[in-house]
Amino acid sequence: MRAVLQAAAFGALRSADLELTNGRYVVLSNEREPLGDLLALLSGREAPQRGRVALDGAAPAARPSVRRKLAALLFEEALPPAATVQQGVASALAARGEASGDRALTLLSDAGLGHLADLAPRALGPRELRSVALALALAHDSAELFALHEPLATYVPAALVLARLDAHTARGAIVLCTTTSPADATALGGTWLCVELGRVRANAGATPRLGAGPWQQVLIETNDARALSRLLHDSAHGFVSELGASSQSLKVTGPALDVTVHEVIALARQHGLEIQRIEAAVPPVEALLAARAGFARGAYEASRALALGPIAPQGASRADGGS
Amino acid sequence: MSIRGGVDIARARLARRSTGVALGLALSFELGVALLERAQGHVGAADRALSGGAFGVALPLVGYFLVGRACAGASSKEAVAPLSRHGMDRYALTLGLTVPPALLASIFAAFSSVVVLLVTRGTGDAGLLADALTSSWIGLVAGAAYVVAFMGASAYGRGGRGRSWLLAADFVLGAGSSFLAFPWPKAHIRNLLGGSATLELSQAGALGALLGTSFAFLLLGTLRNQR
Repeated sequence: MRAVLQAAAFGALRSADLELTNGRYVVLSNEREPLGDLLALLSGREAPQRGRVALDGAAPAARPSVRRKLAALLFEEALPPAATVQQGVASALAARGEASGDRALTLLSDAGLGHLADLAPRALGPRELRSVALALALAHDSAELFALHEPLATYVPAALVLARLDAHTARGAIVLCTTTSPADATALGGTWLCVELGRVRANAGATPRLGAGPWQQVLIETNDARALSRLLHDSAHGFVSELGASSQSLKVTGPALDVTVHEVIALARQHGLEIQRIEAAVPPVEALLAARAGFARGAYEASRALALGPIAPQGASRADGGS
Repeated sequence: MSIRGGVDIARARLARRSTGVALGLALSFELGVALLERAQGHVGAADRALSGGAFGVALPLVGYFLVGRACAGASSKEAVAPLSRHGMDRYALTLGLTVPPALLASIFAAFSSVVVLLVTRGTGDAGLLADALTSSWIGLVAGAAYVVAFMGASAYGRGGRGRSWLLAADFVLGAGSSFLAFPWPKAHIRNLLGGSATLELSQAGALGALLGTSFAFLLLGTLRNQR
C-alpha cells in the first residue's frame, strides 16, 4: 500500500504532505498539535477539508473497501453499542468481514483484557476503551495501514504491542504511530516525523532524529565517568558523550532529555555506578537574552540592507570608479 | 449487512428507560392539551388538539429526541463511526440507523392521535372510527417523515446540530403557508389534518411534498456522510 497526503487539511491540521510506503513511522509532537486530526484523515474517519488523502489512489473516507484494510486507534474511542464488550468486539469484527464466534474473546484474552469481556461498554473508562480498540487493531492481520495514537499508553502490555507492530511491519504494512512522548517514540522506532504549527511533512531520505542537538545535553557527575561513557556508547540510542575536565564529569547528548536520563539511570543501576549529580545543560538566561539580541540585530541589519538595496550598488560603483 | 448494522446500533441506543420516559411525557402532554381543548369547547377540540399539541408540538420533539438518541447526541456520521471505520458503508448504515426511530415515532404518533381523539370526542361519537383511522395513517406518515428529515439534517453542523436548526425552522417557518413553509414537515402535516394548505396544495400534494422533502433531507445527509 502507498499512502499519499497532499496539502491535506482538517481541523487544526493546516497541511500534511506525506508519501508513505511500507515501514514504520512515528509522528512526534506536543499535545497542542493536531495528531488526532492527522489520524482521522489517515483512518478515513474524516475527509480532508482541503487537499487530498489517498491510499493506493482511493480516498479512505469515501471507500468502505479501503477502510476495511485499515486499523486505527484514535484519540477517543467508542465500541459499537452492545450489551457487553465481547459483543461489541464481535460486531466490529463482523463489520470488517471476520467471522466472530469465539474470536472476540480470544482477541481480548490475548491482549490481557479478558476481564473486560463481560462488562458493558458504557462501564469502561477512556483508557480501557482505547485498550480494547488497540487489541482490535493489532489483531487485524489483513490490514495494510495501521494508524495508532499513543499505542504504548494503554493497558495492553507494551512488549505485546511492539511485537505485533514488528510482525505487521515485517509483512509489509505501513505502521504509523503518533505520540507526544519521546521515550515512546524511541521505543516505537522507525522514521520520525514531526507535526509543527499544524504542518507535517516527510522529506525524502533519512529523517534526522528530532530533538537531538546541544539543547538536549545532560550533565552528569558520577564516580566513574569513563565507564558510564563506554556503556552509553554501546547503547542503542546513539548517545554522544564528552568527558569533562574532571574524571567524574560527563556531558551526554541524546535524542531527547527524558530518553537520556532514563537510560543513564538504568545503566548506572545495572552496573553499580553512583550518580552524584544529573542536570539538563540548559543555557543560562543571559546567554538566551544575548542570542535574542543577536537575532534582532541581524534581522534589523538584513532588512536595512534590503531597504537601502538600490542605493548601495551606486555607492559601490562610485567607490569602484574612484579607485 | 450494513443496513442491519445501522438498525442494530439504533436499537441498542434506543433500548433505554429514558426513551420510554420521554414518550410517556410526550403522551401526557398531548393528553393534557386534549383535556384543555375539550374543556374549552367540544366543537373543533379534536382538530385543535391534534394539529396543536399532538402533531404541532409533541411529535416534532419526539422525532428530535429519538434521532438524537439514535445518534448518541452526535452527528449521523459520528453515530455510525463505530462500524463504518471497520469498512461498512456509511450510506447504508445511516439508512439502517433511521429505521428504528422512524418506526417508533410512527407508532407513537398513530397511537397518541387515537388517544387524543378518544379524549376530545368521547367513545360515543359516530365518526370516531373513521377519524381515528385517518389520524392513524397521518400519524404513521408524519412520525416517519419527521425522523427521516431529522436524520438527514443530523449530517450537518458540528455534533449534528443541523437537526436543531431543522426543529427551529419547522416551528418558525413551518407555521406559515407561503413558499418559505414548503420544505418543512409541519406545513404539510397541518394540510393533511385539514388545516391551511401550503402553496394551496391538495392533500395528495401535501402527502407527496411531505415525503419528498423529508427523503430529500435524508438523501442530502447520507450523501454528505459518504464523503
